[in-house]
Amino acid sequence: MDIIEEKTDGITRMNKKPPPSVWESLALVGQLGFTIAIPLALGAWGGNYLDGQTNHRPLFLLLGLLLGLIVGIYGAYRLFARFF
Amino acid sequence: MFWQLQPILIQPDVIFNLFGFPITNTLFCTWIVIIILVALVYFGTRKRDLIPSGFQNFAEWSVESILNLVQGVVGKEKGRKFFPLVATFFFFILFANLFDVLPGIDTIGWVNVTAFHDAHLAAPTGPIVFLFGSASNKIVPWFRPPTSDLNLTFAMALISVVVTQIYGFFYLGAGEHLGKYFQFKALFTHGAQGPIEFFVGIVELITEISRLLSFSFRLFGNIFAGSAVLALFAFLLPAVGDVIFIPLELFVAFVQALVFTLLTLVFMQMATTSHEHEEGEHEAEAEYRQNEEREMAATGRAS
Repeated sequence: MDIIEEKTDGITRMNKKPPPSVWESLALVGQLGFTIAIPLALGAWGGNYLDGQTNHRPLFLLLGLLLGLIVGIYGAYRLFARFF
Repeated sequence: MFWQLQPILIQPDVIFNLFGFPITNTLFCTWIVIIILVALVYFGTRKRDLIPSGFQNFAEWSVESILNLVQGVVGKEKGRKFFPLVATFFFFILFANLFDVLPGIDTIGWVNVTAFHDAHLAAPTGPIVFLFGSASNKIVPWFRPPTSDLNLTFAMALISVVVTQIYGFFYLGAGEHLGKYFQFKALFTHGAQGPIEFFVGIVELITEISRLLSFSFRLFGNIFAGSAVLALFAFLLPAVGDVIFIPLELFVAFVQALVFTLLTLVFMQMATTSHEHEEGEHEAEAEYRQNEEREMAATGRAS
């Protein structure tokens, strides 16, 4: 019984990508936060800078945040896309 | 007051000048790490017995473990290509990080004459001076963990990202590699989806650049904060507090070295596999299947 379960389990697992090791998972999860946060921070900083240069106070800040969010989410997707 | 807390500075101190270049304490410690690594490799490979023993055995075991780890992530063939760089990263960062638990860090150095001057005190003179009380933090330390300097971690992040791009060009060719970021072709072939595809390429380029920051700030932040915590608890709970934090810092030193190495590898793997045909993954998958079969055979025998 156990052997059959193990075998079917093995077959379903065979069709997927190999799972990452513990250390690799740790590294990837650690990277996930940075991947989302850094583009957001850069977008906010850049937007704020452009707002200071022009006279459209919240416009570029919001655009920068939106761009940062898109980049962050796409980066997070790309980071884990190999395992889907 | 027996002693005072060291000022916790983000920038390293300049300890001497060499041919007009200011040499900081972190750069000085980087040289020490390089000398230690060269010495270890020299003594590890001096005899080269066929049946290794003692230190040679340990050196071979550590190198082989890293090689297995690398080949587990990117497969056999690419693993041998990427191994020299990422193993160098691992051992260099590990030894650089381990500096923050050594005795003498932040406590041996020159007498900080300007700090004495600012406090309206006479700076002590002499070949060897012990500083006590309110004067105990007025030193310019000779030793500081190399990775607690943002310049070093940023330089390593730069190497990691640039080499990743070079491997991308090498494995995929200039056209396909650049095509990931500048999808001009999609503008004409994908119809209404074209501009979105083009935008995704630009987004991909931004994530590549933001990786520079994530690599450098993670390593710098962990080690800088680690050494600050060690200094703080040596001050708050002398002799007891660091019993908890030194093992923690040993663990952090190892994990951060491994994380930098593995992420470099993962991004190299991502840069060298094209979107259309993912050869490296097939190779890894075949290897995984083999392992599964072997495992299954072993458990079958056992039961």
